[in-house]
Amino acid sequence: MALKTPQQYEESLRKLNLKVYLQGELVKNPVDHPIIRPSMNSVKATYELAQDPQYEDLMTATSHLTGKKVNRFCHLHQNTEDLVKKVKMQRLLGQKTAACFQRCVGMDAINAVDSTTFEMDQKLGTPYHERFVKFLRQMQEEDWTVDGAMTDPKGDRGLSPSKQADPDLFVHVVEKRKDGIVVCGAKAHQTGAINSHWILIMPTISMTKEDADYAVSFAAPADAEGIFYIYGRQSCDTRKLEGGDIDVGNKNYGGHEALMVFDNVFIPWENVFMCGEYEFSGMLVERFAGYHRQSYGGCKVGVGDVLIGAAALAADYNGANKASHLKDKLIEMVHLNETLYACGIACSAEGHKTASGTYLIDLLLANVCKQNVTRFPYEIARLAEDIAGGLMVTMPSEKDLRHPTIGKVVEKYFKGVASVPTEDRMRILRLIENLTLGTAAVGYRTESMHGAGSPQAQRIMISRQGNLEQKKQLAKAIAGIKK
Amino acid sequence: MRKRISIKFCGGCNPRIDRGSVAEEIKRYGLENGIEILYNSLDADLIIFLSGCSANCAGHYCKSDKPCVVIAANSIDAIAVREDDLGTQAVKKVRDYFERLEKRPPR
Repeated sequence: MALKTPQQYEESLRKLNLKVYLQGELVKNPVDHPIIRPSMNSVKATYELAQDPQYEDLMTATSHLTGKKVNRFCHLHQNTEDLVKKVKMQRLLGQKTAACFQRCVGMDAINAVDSTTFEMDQKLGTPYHERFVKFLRQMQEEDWTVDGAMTDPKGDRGLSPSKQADPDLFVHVVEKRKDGIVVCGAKAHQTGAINSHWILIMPTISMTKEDADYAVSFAAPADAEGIFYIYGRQSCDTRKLEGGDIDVGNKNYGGHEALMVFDNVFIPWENVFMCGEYEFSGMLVERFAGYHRQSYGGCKVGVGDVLIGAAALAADYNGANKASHLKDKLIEMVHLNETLYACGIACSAEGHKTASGTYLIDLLLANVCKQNVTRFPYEIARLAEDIAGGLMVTMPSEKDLRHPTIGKVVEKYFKGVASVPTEDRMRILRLIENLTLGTAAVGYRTESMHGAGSPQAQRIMISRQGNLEQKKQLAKAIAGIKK
Repeated sequence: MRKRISIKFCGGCNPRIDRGSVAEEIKRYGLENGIEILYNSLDADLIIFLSGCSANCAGHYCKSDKPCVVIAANSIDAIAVREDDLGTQAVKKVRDYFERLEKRPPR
């Protein structure tokens, strides 16, 4: 089975024995929990679209390992065409879900681990790449969703992993056995963890010799003994428990993050891809972050497409669509959104081959892409709120609209253009609310700021890759300065 | 032998046209005329590269020397066509191709 159907994906999740806590309770059935379910639907869409001839060119690829058709999320980029198609696929999925579809972290992790383990083995004679390729074959064959997990809780940011008051603030090896290792610690903000079959762990920062126990990368089943999850709250999340479909803004799709805890988890050697090789931790972090910064030039753009469409509809429904300033604001939103896309495409088109054969994006352009992502979605959201008007946050509830007596009042006083039902106007305003300050704002706003690294992390990379000395030489040549 | 047309879609990341309805018109023509319709295959008598925008990803990333029609946004073989006329014009292209083929003297 190289491609799972959406139904097979859902059923495979039901077979997992995940330990998930949500609002202080152990969840018996994560798949059908009303708060979790929309995020599962988003991942399910990655399986659904792969089955559709209209989207398979982006959603699938040919495995370089087996020659079989696989979901692109399980694929290693073999050329710049693959890198470009990845961004286009992400834009497509953003458009279809208006949410974080979560599967990118695994794709970015396998691509980063592949080239890093290859280069590590070349230099140190370690056996990691062969082990990793074995894991990848299985991932492709089973069409797994893999959660690429990097971010540790990090405790005191002024201290290295080994100097922390609590050693568990970074994932680390507590025991090395003949048959494997035992790890403790946690990974925070884990996107899609509850919807994943496997997890792929990577170190979170560049390590030094004294942090060698923290330089660890491995794969594990998402329901391995000793792993449990604490589900992250989202703004307005309990609206999903109310049973309606307007106030949630996006009834079918969503995203999620969770704290992933490792309580003495045993990992057999065959699933260990780094164990103490601290000098390669920085390479793995840099490559994963680079791929993930590229990703945002696709997914956020797709969600942005939906938000721009919603803002334009709000203007239509308000009867304000002919106002020149509103047209101009919509143009500005498109301009910002397409600038993000341009960066995603550019860093892909300028990608290059690594020693393992896997292609890597242009790191400078990927970091420029993500730096823009820390800003533009905020401006797009601001303009959407401007166009939507205050009603977006002062409107009565769906229950009021459905009420036998006051429903008529809501219908009467919240009507915009006479030909548009009040309910449609409410629906589009709730969608804008969802994206700008509801559950989806987690993905569209704050994740745009901090996901794949906070703004300063990109500025450090831009500073390293910016080639300032060459620019000085250019200026000297033009100005006639000889030294 | 039954003639075969393959509709090769781009991935649909940001389509300017409704690719599905254009494909549907070609499919309908095929069914009415005993032509087999395939999707995303390069093994056919005629390939329709159907892209949602002018980047023409459907054709851009393919290596094929088969006869083809390129629909990219509101253009067919690089000539602008009104969006609401795309399906009709695409069908005309297909019909013209097979008619030319039939008129060609046998080798």
